[in-house]
Amino acid sequence: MAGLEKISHIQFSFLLFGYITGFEGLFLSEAKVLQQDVWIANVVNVFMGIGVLSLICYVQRQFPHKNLAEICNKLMGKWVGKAMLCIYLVNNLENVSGGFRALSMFYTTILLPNTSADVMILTCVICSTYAVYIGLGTLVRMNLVVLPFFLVGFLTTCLFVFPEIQTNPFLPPFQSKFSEIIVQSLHLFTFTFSELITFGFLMSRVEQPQKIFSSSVIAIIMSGFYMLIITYLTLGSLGIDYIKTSTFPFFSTLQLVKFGEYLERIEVILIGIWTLLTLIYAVVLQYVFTLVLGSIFNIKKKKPFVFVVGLLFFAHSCRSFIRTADHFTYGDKIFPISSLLPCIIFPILLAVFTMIWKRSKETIRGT
Amino acid sequence: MIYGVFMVGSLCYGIVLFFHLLKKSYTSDAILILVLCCLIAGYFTPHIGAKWPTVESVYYILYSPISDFFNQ
Repeated sequence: MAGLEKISHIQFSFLLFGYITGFEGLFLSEAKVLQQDVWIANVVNVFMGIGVLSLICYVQRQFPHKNLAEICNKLMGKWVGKAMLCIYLVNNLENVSGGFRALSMFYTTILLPNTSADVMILTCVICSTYAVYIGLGTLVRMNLVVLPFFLVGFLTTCLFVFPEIQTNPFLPPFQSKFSEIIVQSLHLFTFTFSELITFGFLMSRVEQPQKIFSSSVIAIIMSGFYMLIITYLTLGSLGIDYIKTSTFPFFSTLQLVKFGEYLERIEVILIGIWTLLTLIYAVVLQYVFTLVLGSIFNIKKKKPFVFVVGLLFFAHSCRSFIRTADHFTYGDKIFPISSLLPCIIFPILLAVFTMIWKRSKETIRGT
Repeated sequence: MIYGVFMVGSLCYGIVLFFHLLKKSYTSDAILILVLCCLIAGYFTPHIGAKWPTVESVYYILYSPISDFFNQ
């Protein structure tokens, strides 16, 4: 990996925004259950995201010159710390395999039905391994170039979807049960802001650490708005029944857009941008996996491990989530529970241990 | 066929790097690389590869009782 360069807090928050919006907008599984009440799940999700972010930022602020893996080892002891980091690594592998499989499934369904999924996964892995090899600085700069085009294109397309809205997507309100809202909020959180722990491992690389929290909160709120815009445009233009049956509801919404008679199939551009953002998602996960692996096993020669981690990701993704129905069932039933430990309990434990450590330091200083 | 190539390739890469790193006295790195490459080769082995443990299979066994309890 090319050096351990520092990035700015703006680049960090742009990466966070691209990472979250890139992946979740396509399936809208919460909207299929909650329909017009999905805004409640989104708001709860944003608050949970800000909560987890504040815990991780608090921990990082107490140890300004250490990265989160070193902090974990210091606070929890050598072996418990390594065990927690290993649990995180397993979750990371689970995430990235799901991401690669979702991307190859999308391409097999929409564009390339006769291409083997393994070939597509291999292409993605080659790309992500090379990106990890080049380093974080290049990745964030590339993300900074791509995202404004994505945002402008997305907002322009939304303006053109607006005339297609036929029903008020917010009515009738409050039809869903409280337990359904809680379950779907947890489900939405699992696929969006639970990945903040991954960004926690990158926080030590930011030049102005005191500005991380404010710029990341803006990124989280913007992601929340993005999800709301997508969901309600789809609900209003496609209708509630269609959204339940369509696999990629927002993609179907975009197919309604035509700029007069000369510019159609605008969804193709969004396929390209979605692919790129999902690859950025995979690259960030692979980069953090390599960093944390190096921290757990005290690796001195990092370069060979970049290639080996890429190979591991390819091998694991080829053997995971082979049947699409299994993949969706796993995402619905197992994934929210399996990511509780590394994504919610781990930051809470770190924050609690930090508070205890701080208090014991003050007691020692006082005596 | 492709899986065969990857299996042989990853094993060879692991063994070559193992000896290369041992020569430079990075012992722990060498052992880790060999273990990882053997794990990767396991995924590509003809009959065993389909049953080789993945996160999906392990977590399915671990968490499906909890998930059934919540969804009952």
